[in-house]
Amino acid sequence: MKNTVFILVSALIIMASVFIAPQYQVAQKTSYEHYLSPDHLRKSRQELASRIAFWEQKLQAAPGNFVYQKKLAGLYAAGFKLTGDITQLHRSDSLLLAVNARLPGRVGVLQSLTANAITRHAFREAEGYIRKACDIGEDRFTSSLMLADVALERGNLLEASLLLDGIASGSHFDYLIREVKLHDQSDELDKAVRSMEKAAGLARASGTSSAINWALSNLADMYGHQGKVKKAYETYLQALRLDPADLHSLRGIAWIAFSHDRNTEEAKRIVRFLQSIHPMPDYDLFLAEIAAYEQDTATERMHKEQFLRKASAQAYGNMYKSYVCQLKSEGGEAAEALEIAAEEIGERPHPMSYHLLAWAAFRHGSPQRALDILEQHVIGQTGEPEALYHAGVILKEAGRKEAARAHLLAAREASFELGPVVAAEIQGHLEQL
Amino acid sequence: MKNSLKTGILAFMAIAIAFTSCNDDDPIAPADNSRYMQEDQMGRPAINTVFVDAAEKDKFNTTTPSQQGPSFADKFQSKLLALNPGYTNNALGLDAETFTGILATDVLTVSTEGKTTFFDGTNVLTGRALADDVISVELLLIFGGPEGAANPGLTDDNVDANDKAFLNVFPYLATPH
Repeated sequence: MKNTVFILVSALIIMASVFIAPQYQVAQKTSYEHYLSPDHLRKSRQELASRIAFWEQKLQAAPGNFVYQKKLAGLYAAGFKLTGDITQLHRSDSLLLAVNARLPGRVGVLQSLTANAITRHAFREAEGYIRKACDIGEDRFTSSLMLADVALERGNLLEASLLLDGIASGSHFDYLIREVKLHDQSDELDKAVRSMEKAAGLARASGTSSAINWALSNLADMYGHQGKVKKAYETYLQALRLDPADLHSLRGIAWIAFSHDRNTEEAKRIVRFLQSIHPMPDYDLFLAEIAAYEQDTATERMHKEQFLRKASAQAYGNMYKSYVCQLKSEGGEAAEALEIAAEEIGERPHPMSYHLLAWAAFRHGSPQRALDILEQHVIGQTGEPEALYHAGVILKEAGRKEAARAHLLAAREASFELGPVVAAEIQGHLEQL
Repeated sequence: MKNSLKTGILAFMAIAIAFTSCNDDDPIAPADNSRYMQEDQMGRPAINTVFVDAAEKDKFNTTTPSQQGPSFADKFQSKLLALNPGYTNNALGLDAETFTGILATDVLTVSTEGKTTFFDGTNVLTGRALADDVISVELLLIFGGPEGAANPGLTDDNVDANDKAFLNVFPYLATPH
């Protein structure tokens, strides 16, 4: 009896910590309200549009001029990031392909093609370009960094690590941010944070506000992953002071408002603002997550459908495959999810892709196959909270209680990162063990 | 949702690559903890571009000028003879070995007295003025033979002036256009 009471009380305490809003709220409207205005972005966009118009005019007067084509390719790639308009990324690509066809073997062009292909999540294509650049040999430093990017995406940690060892340069910003990714994927978050702090220091020393902003907004994400929510919030604000049009940081603040503060109204307000000025499909996924927390099933379904509709557009190629796969697994379309996961593994044979396949198999009613995939490709190979959570559930259903508990407990550590809905699910599973 | 935060990072990383490698002409304030790496060097226009193979670029760009001659003169000579197999002497009376020996040390020589010009018919490599037709001079020396009359189709870039007038006052360059 005593034991039962103890378990009940512990469960209540844990549930309370998951479900009851924290006493203090980190995100304070007054500190970021200023940034929720389309004016900041409008200015950057106008500036970029006028530069694009300038070079387009030159290209029109001299069709096929590769100098203008290269300039425009860079501007359109930046334009995609700024506007969320995917056609700009395609325009950038077609310009680069034209230059590459006329002047094959230019390392700079191959590197730009690689960067675009990575953005499109076309990792095999990216690998083809950057290996060619490495073979040519010019600017080997940058080519090695980009090949390491592709290797990390494709789950080849060893190659990435060897490439980075070969060019180690702790005083170079571009190198340090790859070190960050390597540490992060090796589940050494503290080391990753230290490298990113060092990169931010270098950016500050350079005085380039775009680099400082970039370093800080990513550092803020990482503080969040460490569970240091207040520090993450303050760092997002610092990043915003440098670039008031930094949507990534605003999105981070929205996540804090939701995941930590449980202030869903405020989170929705920020996300809707982002959605209104930056038409990427991601925001629907965020809004669906909030609706799920509010137990508003109809709205959740509506946002998920909207996300699927937008993200499945051909123009996005592979960009949203992993989310689509997961939604299909959970939405009763596991057979389709299995196919998407297999495609994703072809593009990116990373433990995270295998985790998608395992999850799809599990939801498709093949728990043994799911377990086999996990044991072969996921367990012990990634510390991503989402993979830990799904592995925990699959292990639990397979009756592997101890391993399930270990995975679920590790995933619970990342409750802020996973969000309250998943955190509550994890708690539920733990209680059944 | 976690995944979307991650891709956010990757997307931004790609931007950083673009930014950091394109910001060469942004002013960089020196600070105690900043260190620099040599990325490129170019004394005379187009020489590094034309004479150094892609596989050797990184090495050339980080070789101090005093060492460029010993390390690269032979390769420059092979390249010159590949470009113009009929090369004997050029208008300056330089044979292939002497000419590429000069080119391989990729610095811009300047005479502290006398006229500043890349080549004006009389003065040779005493500096470089904005309006000098540098590329045509180089083409002439590579392809033009002893009299400057050989390979007439290859000795002029057919660009005779900047497409916008230079200024008479500092910074002397044309305004952005």
